[in-house]
Amino acid sequence: MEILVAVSTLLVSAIRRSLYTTLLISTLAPVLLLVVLFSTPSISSLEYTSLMQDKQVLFFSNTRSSEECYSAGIVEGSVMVNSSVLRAPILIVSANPDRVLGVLGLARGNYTASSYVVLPRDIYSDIGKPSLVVVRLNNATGEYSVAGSWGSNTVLLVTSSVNYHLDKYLCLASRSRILLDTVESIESNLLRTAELWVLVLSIVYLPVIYAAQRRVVESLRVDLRVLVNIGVSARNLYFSTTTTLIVLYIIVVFYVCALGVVLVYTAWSVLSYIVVLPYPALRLSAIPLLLLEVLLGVLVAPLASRGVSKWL
Amino acid sequence: MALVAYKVVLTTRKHLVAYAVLTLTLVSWLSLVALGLLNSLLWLYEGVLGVEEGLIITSKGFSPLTALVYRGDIESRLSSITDITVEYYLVTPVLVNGGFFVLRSTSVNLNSSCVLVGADIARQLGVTIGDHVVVSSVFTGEVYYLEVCGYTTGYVLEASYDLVARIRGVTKGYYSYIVVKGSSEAQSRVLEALGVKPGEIRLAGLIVAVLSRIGDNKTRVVLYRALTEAYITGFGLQRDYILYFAVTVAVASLIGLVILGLDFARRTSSSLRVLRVIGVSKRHLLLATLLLGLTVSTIAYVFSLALYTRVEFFTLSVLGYVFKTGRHSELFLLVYLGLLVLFNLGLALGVHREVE
Repeated sequence: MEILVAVSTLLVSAIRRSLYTTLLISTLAPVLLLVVLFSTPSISSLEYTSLMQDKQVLFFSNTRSSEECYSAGIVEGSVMVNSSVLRAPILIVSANPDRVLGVLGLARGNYTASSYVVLPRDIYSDIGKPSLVVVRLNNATGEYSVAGSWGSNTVLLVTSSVNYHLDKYLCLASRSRILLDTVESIESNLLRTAELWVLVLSIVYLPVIYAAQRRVVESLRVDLRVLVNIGVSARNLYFSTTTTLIVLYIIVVFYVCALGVVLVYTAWSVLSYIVVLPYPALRLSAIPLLLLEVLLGVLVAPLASRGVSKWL
Repeated sequence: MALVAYKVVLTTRKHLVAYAVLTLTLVSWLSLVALGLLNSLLWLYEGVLGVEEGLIITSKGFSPLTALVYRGDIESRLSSITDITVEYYLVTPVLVNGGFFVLRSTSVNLNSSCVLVGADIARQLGVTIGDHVVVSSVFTGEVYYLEVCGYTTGYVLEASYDLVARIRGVTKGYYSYIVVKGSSEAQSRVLEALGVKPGEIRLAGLIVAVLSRIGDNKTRVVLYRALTEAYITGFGLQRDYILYFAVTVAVASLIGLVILGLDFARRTSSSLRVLRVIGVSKRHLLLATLLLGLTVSTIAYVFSLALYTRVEFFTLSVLGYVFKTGRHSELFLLVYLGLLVLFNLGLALGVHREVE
């Protein structure tokens, strides 16, 4: 009860004498910048994807990098037509031929066979655009229908019946999906750096927070003396001062946070008259940093309240 | 008298000065880092493509990686201009092992299955000379099996023009950007040949001319100070706004130094009182403390600059490319001024209060 009375007395006194201003300045940089940096409009909300034709593309990967990936591998092999033998890298894909050939714009007919070959354009022309070729892979040969040609320098063998060990993947993804993933990855990298920067700034600002809290305590010296005179014990006085600092600090942090949000939206409203800007939104990843900022202030408060009873 | 007071405070409060220097150094370093990193965002394409000076001719588009300029058109416009060297580059985004990279044409004679890899990319992909990489085109959807024939500079892959054009899916003669090097006078003539009015020409470091077709055989030219600026403008992001934002963040991060200045004055109050008692005037005390503030700020700034240039604790990377933090003296001077003004403001207010 004694602590409660002391805390309320100190709080009212601190607020009436605007002692929170010092705390406000000390928290302004880490909290306001945290809110501002984490409220910048998302790059992915910019209409990048609408600028690209939504075409599907193939890409080779060591891992399943997309929702639709097929086992694949590249081996050195040879293509035999009549008497000519051509050595070339062969990209083997374990997939339904219709799916992969469709992406390459070769699905002109119904592919009824389980395997098809796509030849590099120059080889395809040189050997007289054959409809059947023999492909030799690791001493195993097979005859495959030719689905057409492509601009690549590899022979593509799409087969639904695989006899080879394939440890890589050929993935299919839309261009807009790839672009969006790329933009999101850029954004997350930027935010990670911002997160680290704000974290270090919060730690570096500890002496500033300590100085501000100490200043508040010193300004409350008269009130503390009154509390001692009415019988508040030294121990309770210390706890009351610490609690007052913590309460005041938390109020100030959330006030600055709210101020930051208002500032961001005001700036956005003004700027949106001049340039087209995506809508800002405070990201949830700011919350742990905000709580850390509160925690740091709470940890500093007992240090700032040290020795209050010795002054009086 | 002020100098004596300065010396007294400095010698009797060494630990306090060291504490202030340390805190100011760290805050100033963070401010420099914020400014450097945000500013480096404005040089993304310059960094990736290794474009530093000269006149860049490109066309309006989503990015320099998608823009196309017809070589014949440029050659016909520049045919009468001598004393210039013109380099043509075709670049395209490609996917290698699911990651996004830039493939650029090179004048080095390479066969059609060869690729040169930037040292950082080679490290990232874990490839060396003789290994193979599978490059996928985001334009044609085709997959290419290429041998690493050597290394190149920058965060790019390089291949022969014919191969890059095939991967990009364009017919021969199209390029992404053209670098014109020559004297200022020659560059002015180039700009005039592109259709820029003589009054609009301001040559400095890098100049980017973006061409956009406005009708049959008619093009409009817009000049920019940087390649990145030319392309972010299309998304409504103005270079100046980003720069103002960077400066605001850098200065705002210094705001707490007022409190530190006030605290410094409070901690030196006993020395100041003694000096006041022995007859040092208020004005001299204020002058001595401000001189001390200047010393502390300057030492801290020098240390923070050394930290900024030598310690790469904060790095900003985009798709594996690590941004190079710029060293723009005018922006750095701003941090020094901010440091000086805010710390000394707190100090002056504190001394004024303590001496009273």
